[in-house]
This record gives sequence, structure tokens and C-alpha cells, in this order.
Amino acid sequence: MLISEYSAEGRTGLAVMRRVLRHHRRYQQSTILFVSWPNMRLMAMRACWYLSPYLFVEGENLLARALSRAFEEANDPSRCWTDEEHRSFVLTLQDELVPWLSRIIVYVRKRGDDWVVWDYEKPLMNLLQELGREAVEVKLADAPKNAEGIRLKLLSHICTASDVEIARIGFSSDGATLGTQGQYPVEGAR
Amino acid sequence: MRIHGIVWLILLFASLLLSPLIVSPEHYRGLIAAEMMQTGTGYGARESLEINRRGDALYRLLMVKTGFESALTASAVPSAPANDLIMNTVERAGHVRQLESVVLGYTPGLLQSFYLFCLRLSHSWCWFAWLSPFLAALILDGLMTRRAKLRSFEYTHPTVYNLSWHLIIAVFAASLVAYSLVASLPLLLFPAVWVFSGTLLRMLISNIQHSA
Repeated sequence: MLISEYSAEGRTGLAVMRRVLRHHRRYQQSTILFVSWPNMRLMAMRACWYLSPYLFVEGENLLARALSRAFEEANDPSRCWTDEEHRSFVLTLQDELVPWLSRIIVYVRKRGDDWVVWDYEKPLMNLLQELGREAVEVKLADAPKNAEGIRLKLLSHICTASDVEIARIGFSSDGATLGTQGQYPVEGAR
Repeated sequence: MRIHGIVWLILLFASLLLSPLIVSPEHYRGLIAAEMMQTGTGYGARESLEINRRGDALYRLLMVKTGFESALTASAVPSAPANDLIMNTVERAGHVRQLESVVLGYTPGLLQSFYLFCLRLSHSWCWFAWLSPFLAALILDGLMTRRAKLRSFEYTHPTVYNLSWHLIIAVFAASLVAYSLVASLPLLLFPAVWVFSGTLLRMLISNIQHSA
């Protein structure tokens, strides 16, 4: 279920989003997009809650990089105040996140010395809260996981039905996603 | 004169703050997109982008850097559709449902209302830059006319002077109120405000009293 902006999770997600965007100097840029698409703020907030600010790949924060690129892409002046702003934000966000999420395995250490694998079912922040937030480790998977399943799970956690409709994202029965922006180049993770 | 200014200021803020209670954020978005398209077809893509860029900068200066935007959205309700999905499962009376949509859409509508105002101010500034030589000529003409009046023992008119002052305030304030309205404005309004104000300014300067 989508987290609400009224809940404690939502407020934490908003605070994380603000801090990430300010740290990467994207806050000013994002504010105009938030005026034109108020739902974009909620999507970014839910992405922050789903992924947490603790995932690093190639020495970069995965969440910060994805949000930065999504805002950069959506901020194209030719798309000013059109549905294309919204569409490019959602597509870039998923195109930045899904390839990595399908290639990595995220381990979270429980209290004690057991490690739990994040299966994308619930937001990582929820898992970290439940397990006591001791440590997170990111490793490259031996074989890539099903990207379509992860995409569906990601979208279900960050978008409302109307967001998916405005972004014109469709799923065909043979598993190919309609409306993405091409292949995913993925290199090594750390 | 002070009361005149305060009345217009109240009207301006009432228009900015109360319009989001009547108009939905989707309507605002459509209006802003239409206005951008209108400037694009009227002046060309480069000028239109410049107006948008200056409008963005003004919005950031007035709303983001001052912290108003953060304060408004810290506990705000930016998403009507998402909340509708949750709230549809709860039984409420009809009038409560109507009020809900107004309340849920208020914060995004308010931000869009301020953005629309900033965009129109930026549009107006674009015309000021173009008309500034004309305005400078009007001011110079006003000064020369006043000097000629004084040299030829002709009277300056205090009534015209006072009337010009009030009209200048009225034109500027009415244009600001018009820029905050949720209605499509004709492109000609923006230069017309400067031209009319410039003409009034010339009348004002040419009738400044001798003792002033």
C-alpha cells in the first residue's frame, strides 16, 4: 500500500527527500516541478521511503543519482507544464532504479549476527526499522533477477494509478514494458 | 493615497489566497500551460523561454528562498487523487466530500496561483525592458513641459497632479490584481499597462507644484 503523506513514514520520507535534493543541489530545480505536478513530490517522497538513502552503487548514492537524473530530465524547458514532464520523471526514475535493483542483492543485518535479504516486497526503510537498522550491505547478484517484476513492485510502491496513467506506462502480456526509454546499461556495483 | 494603496493590496492578496478555494489545481495547470503557449506563439520560442526562466527565478526568490514553500508543504496535502483513493472507502456526507476536494486542492492551487502571478510579472517586465526608451522619453518630456510652464508663467494643475497620482496607483494595482486572476489575459494588456502608466507619469511630472 502507498504510504500517506500524513503518516510518520510519509513525513520521514519528505524530510529524507528534502535533505537528498538539497545536498545534491536539486531542490531549487525540483520546486518548480512540484508546483506543476504536486504528485511528483509524493512520488519522490515514496521513492525515498522505498529505497532508503543508504544504498550505494559505484560509490554513488542510488536514490540521489536516480532523483537527480529524473529531475534533470523532467526539467527540460520544451516540456514545460505538459504531461511530458510527469512522464519523463517516472520513466527516468524507473530506468535509473530497476536495472540496478535487478542486479544487486541488499542484505540487512538483524540484531545479533543474522542477515536478511531485501526481497522488494516492503519498503527498505520499513525493513530497516523492523530489524533495528544495524547495517546494510549491497552485493552484485550472480545472475540478474526478473526486471519486470521489480519494476512492477517499484511502481506499485511509488505511483498511484493516476500517476501511471498520466505517464502512459503500459505492460504487455509477453513481459515487455511499453513506454520505457531503451535498454539498461549496468556495470559493476559496490 | 495610502488608503487607496491598502485597498488594492487587500484585493490583490484576497485574489491570490482565495482563488485556489474556487479553482482546482488542474485548472491552474491548464491556464499556465495555455499562457505559455500564448507567449510562445505571440513572441517566439526564445522570448517565451526567457519569460518562463525569469518567472521561475522570481518564484524561487519569493516562495522558496523565503521558506514559504517549505512551510506550506511541510504539513501539506499535495495530492488530491491519492487521497481520494484512500478516502473513498470511508462514508461521509455529501457536503463534507465537496469541502474535502476544496481543502485537498488548496495548497497546490495556492502555489500555482503564486507561480502564475510570478510568470505574469516576468511577462510584464519583458515589456518594460522594451518600452523603457519610450518611458524615459515621456519622463523627459514631462520635465521639459514643467520647466516651460514655469518659465512662461503658466500654472501647473494640482488637480491633474493628484488625479495622475491616483490613476497611476490604480493602473499599477489593478494590473497586479489582474495578473493574479484565474483568467486568460490578452497579450496587449501587458504593454498597455506600461504605456498608460508612462503617459500618466508625464502628466504627473509636468504638473509638479512650483514649491516642490
